[in-house]
Amino acid sequence: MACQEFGFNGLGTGDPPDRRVVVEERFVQAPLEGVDVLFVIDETPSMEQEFDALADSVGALMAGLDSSGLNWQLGVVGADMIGEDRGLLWGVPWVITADTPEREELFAEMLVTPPVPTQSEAGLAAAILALELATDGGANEGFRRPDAGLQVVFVSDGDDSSATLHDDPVAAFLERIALEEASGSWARASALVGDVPSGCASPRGTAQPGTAYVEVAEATGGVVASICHADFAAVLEALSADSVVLPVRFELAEVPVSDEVQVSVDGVQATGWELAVDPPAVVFDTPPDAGVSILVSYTVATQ
Amino acid sequence: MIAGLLAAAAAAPLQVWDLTLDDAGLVATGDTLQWAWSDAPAAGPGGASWGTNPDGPYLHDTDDSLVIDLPPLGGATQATLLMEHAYDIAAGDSAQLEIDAGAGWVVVDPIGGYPTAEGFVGDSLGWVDSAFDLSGLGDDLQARLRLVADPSQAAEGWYVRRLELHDADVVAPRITPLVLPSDNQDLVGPYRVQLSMVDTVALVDPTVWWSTGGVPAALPMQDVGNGVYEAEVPGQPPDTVVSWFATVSDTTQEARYPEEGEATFRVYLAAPKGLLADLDGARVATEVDLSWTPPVTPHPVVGYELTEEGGQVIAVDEAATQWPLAPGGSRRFSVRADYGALGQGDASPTVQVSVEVPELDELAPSSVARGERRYVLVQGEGLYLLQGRSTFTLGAGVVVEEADVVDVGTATLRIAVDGGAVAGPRALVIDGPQGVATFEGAFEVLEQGNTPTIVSVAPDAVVQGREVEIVAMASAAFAGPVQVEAGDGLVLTQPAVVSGEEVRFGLAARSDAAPGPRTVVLDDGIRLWGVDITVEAYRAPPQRSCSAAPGVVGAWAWLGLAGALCLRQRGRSWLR
Repeated sequence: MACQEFGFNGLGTGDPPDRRVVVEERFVQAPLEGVDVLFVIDETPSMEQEFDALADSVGALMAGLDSSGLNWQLGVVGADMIGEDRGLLWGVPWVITADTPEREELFAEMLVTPPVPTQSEAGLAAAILALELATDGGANEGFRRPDAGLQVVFVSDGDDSSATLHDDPVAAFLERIALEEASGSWARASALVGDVPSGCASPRGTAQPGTAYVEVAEATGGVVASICHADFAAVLEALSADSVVLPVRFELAEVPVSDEVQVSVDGVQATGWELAVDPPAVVFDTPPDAGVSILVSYTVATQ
Repeated sequence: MIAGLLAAAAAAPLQVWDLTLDDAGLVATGDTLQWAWSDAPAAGPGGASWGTNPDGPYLHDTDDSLVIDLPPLGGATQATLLMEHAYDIAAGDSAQLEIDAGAGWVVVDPIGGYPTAEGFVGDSLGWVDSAFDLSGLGDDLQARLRLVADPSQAAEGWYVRRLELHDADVVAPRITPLVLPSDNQDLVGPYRVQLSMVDTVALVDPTVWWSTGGVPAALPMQDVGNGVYEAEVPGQPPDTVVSWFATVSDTTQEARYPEEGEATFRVYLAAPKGLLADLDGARVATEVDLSWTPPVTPHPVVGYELTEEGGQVIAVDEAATQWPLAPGGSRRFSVRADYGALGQGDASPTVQVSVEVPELDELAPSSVARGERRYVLVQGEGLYLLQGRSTFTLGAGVVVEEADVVDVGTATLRIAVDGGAVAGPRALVIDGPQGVATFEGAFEVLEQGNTPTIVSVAPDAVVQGREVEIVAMASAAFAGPVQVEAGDGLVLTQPAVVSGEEVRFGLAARSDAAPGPRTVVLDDGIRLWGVDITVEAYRAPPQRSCSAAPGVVGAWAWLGLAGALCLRQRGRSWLR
């Protein structure tokens, strides 16, 4: 009826009704973007041939990280805890990235045994110190990024000898890894060392069992490989694959009404997730596959 | 053959004793008779020869000789005995040639003398030649090689493998250096060469030949007595290498010093010492403190010249300076002293600095117009960027709203250039964990140009508690997928869908959103676009105030009344 258009009450300013709107958010599953790779190198004279093999194969690691779409940084520290440069990342520049010119050559140039031979193989202590120096005000600051994962790679033909520096080097290292996880996204160690328990031999020489290094790698879920392995490139490819970590958590822009959230993966209703409250996020039990499209539809109260 | 002494074969020798073939009839005498001939001695330099105890070190605490019967030399005018021998004799022992011409054994010195007062003592380091002048000794002669060993430790011993007796000048003059010029800072000179030149006959034409690179010039040597000869090379300018050698003749033989090649010395002005590069522990730096010790020199130094290998050169007055490091430089430094009118001195040894220099490879875009908000890529080396620790500034009027550090060398900045920012070039300053890096002129604020903008928005308002689909048109195509920053009180309900210059997205206003104008930000990864939206206050919908129309006349009456009331209401609103 015409008079409806002109009702007096229609010009009033009452409270808006309690309405709800549906919000859709889309995510494409991709690896966590950043990984910082720290090579901890046994620099005793017996490692010279392993250095050559490592330098020849590091391209496989870099190519693997590139193809995974990761923003990666790579640093090298010596296991020698006696010299003045202990814990300092090697080289100029001392952080290699995907964009660093002649990155493989730079890595190879770092791998030189010191002019005064060392017998110090305290890899766990060196890793701890290098990571400490990567925090505020440290000489390695810049290597560790706040939200990046951490992959520590021990390369040695002997076992760790950090016992003079830490009462329990394995526990001390795992404590450091826990700290890194708390401030970053993930952290683990890998070991390219002599076979446990008997060591190994190859044309490059013999290796003692890397018991402590294997222990920290297994404790953190990293890769364990034999330094007597004929093909370092295959080992380093495995390391790059190990550095690809898919997220399980997808943060939402708004606070949903909790019982009105729907999640689909590539168009299929998803299960195996829960809603986190603060900040609001959908958290999967296991990470969705890389490349899938995740659609979250949820209701938001406008009041 | 005793090649070292017989420069030219003169007349045939009077006699030759080839001791590599047999013992040649020589006779061992003495306390222990340790001289013996062996075709394969276990000691000494090796090879068939006469030697002292060829089975091992010579015996000590003994006096033994090897006796040689010489032919008559009464008619000889230049009788000379040549000996090819090797010796390794311990200090405290003696090894000498002695002659008995009927009046008992007498020590005979070789031409040029024994190496020590006790004769051939020390180590000859293999076979050597010695010559003895036996002129005027008569016809009934014997010679002997006498080794007198004390009770202390012995050495390898004394071995001889050839003897030749000549009646001719078969020995070249012997030259021994006395005073040789060495490297020096004397620009005036002269530089004295003093040599001992001896022979059994008179010497002729003792000469020093010298050059600084061309044909050697002859410099006759002066006889200053006692077989000593001198010459003086004239003074030379700094950084000059003088090459020289000396010759002398005895008419049949010539001698040369050095025997091969040339001796050299250099005239120079000294280099500063102890060049140090101090970075105070920094691993990244834009300058380095260089210091050094002034040169040790008799000449006044008026300043210094510093050089970076393959790079620039700067002059300084004091023995220290601060060197600005340049990206790509060799970081290898040397310094030389400036001696004023005398010229430049030698360069110091090079010092290498291991340090990184911040370098900006890319700032893209490097110019942004006033009033624009957009992303800028920063990429470089030695920057050591770190999220949360690195700050970026571009001068007054340019706000860096966000900095997203990708890695140590890459960051993306979201900047907003104020409409009143001064146009022109300005510096990018990065303050990070490894220090401050300033890149002068890296960025430029442009006068307002053809900055793309949003040209239409429909609808341009959303009511509290309501949801709308916004369609915005830009003056240029969006660069990629658009992220929408809705802002306070607004909820993005549908992600943006882009088609060329058009973007659509769902937007709702919360019921408690403050009414008024807003700017919704569209982010296409390159640029930030502002979409002006108004949040309107909720107004209750019209309510039915009558249930039936009162007819046409009545309707117009209602219309007039409602219009009047409406105007009144608006008037109140305007007056508030």
